[in-house]
Amino acid sequence: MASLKDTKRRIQSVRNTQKITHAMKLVSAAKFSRANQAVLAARPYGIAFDRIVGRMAAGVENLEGIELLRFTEQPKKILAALISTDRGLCGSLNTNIFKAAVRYTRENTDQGCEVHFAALGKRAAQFCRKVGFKTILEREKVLERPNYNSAKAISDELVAVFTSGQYDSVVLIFPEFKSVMTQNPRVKQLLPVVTPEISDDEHETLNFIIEPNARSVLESMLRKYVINTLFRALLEGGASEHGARMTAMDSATKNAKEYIRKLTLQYNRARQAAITKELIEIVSGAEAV
Amino acid sequence: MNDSMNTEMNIELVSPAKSLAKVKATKLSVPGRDGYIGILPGHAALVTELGLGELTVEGPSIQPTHFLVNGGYLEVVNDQVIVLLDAAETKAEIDLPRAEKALQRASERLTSKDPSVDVVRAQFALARAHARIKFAK
Repeated sequence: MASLKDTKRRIQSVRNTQKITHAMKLVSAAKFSRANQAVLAARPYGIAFDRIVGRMAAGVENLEGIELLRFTEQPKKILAALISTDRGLCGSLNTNIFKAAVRYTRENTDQGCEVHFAALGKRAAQFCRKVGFKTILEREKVLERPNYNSAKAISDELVAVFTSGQYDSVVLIFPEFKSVMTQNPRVKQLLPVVTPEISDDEHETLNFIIEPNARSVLESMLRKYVINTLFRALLEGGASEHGARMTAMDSATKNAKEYIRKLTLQYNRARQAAITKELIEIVSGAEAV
Repeated sequence: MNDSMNTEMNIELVSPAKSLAKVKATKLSVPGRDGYIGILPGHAALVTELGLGELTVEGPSIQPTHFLVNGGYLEVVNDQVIVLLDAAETKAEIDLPRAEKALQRASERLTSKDPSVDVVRAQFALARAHARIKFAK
């Protein structure tokens, strides 16, 4: 049995860890609420943009030759943009994303398709290096306050390798934010652009005047659509990161509390045993006299 | 159609990062790619790209609202107007000294004979700075 002093030292050490995890939880909670706000604030634009792009795509008669819609029946090369956090201590968030990436890669290599990666996040880069996935692009700190311009910069690079024909398709693998407790890894096709579906009754309102002309407006819209899709994935990734960290740190704090309780019990038992032992010694010593 | 003269349009201004305004108004003026476009109630269905300039929303129930916008789209359907803005600034958000510096820098770059200057980019920067200064004053 551990000595009294040892037990006491361990209690103190667990207590210190608990202080840290608790503080991290509070920090994450604050960051999470900001990130969540950002996700919510971006929603109206996303919804409105989806609708307009859907209508426009349905309204343009000949979609052929539009670069960002170039569809390949059997893609030979796919670029997967893997969004991860930069730091750990966020539960199984990254692990789940990486599992999804491995699964996606296996499925596609089985069909004779090569998958390369764009690592968006330090952990993603480390992971790709470890398992030997080829990366053509590595970025850090993408989830730290994602903004439209940083999304645009990344998006421009992804669009460039697609339009140059280097890749037949570009997909995003990112943690979709459901709630603080759940973040699901999601694979979403970025390029060629999947134009949003529109409902049937909207087809009737398609008689638009379009300035300067439908095709050129659609082309420029699609570019922004790609940026916005990436931007929203980054926002969701950010919210997921802080949400996951908050949950992880909360359960760590709880575990520490439970552990302290157990150690304290052990400590008190040991203390009691020591006192009893001393008493017996005194009593038996007195009897001897 | 007579009715529509009295009614107001529902106008929604959104940027990627946030929703800027959701108002009922009677007049909207936006910078199109080739000049300003005015939208009144009863306007035909329209989709257009926006350029650089000042967006104004007016109506009896609201304070006139102004934004400096740079790129985006406008959609009008049955008096439902959605304006998707790439970037929007209010007067208060504009940093005038910074814009003036940007103007100076851009014009210096344009007048210099350095072949490494990206002329198109400098011209855009110049136009942006001009618009900012004009809008802020």
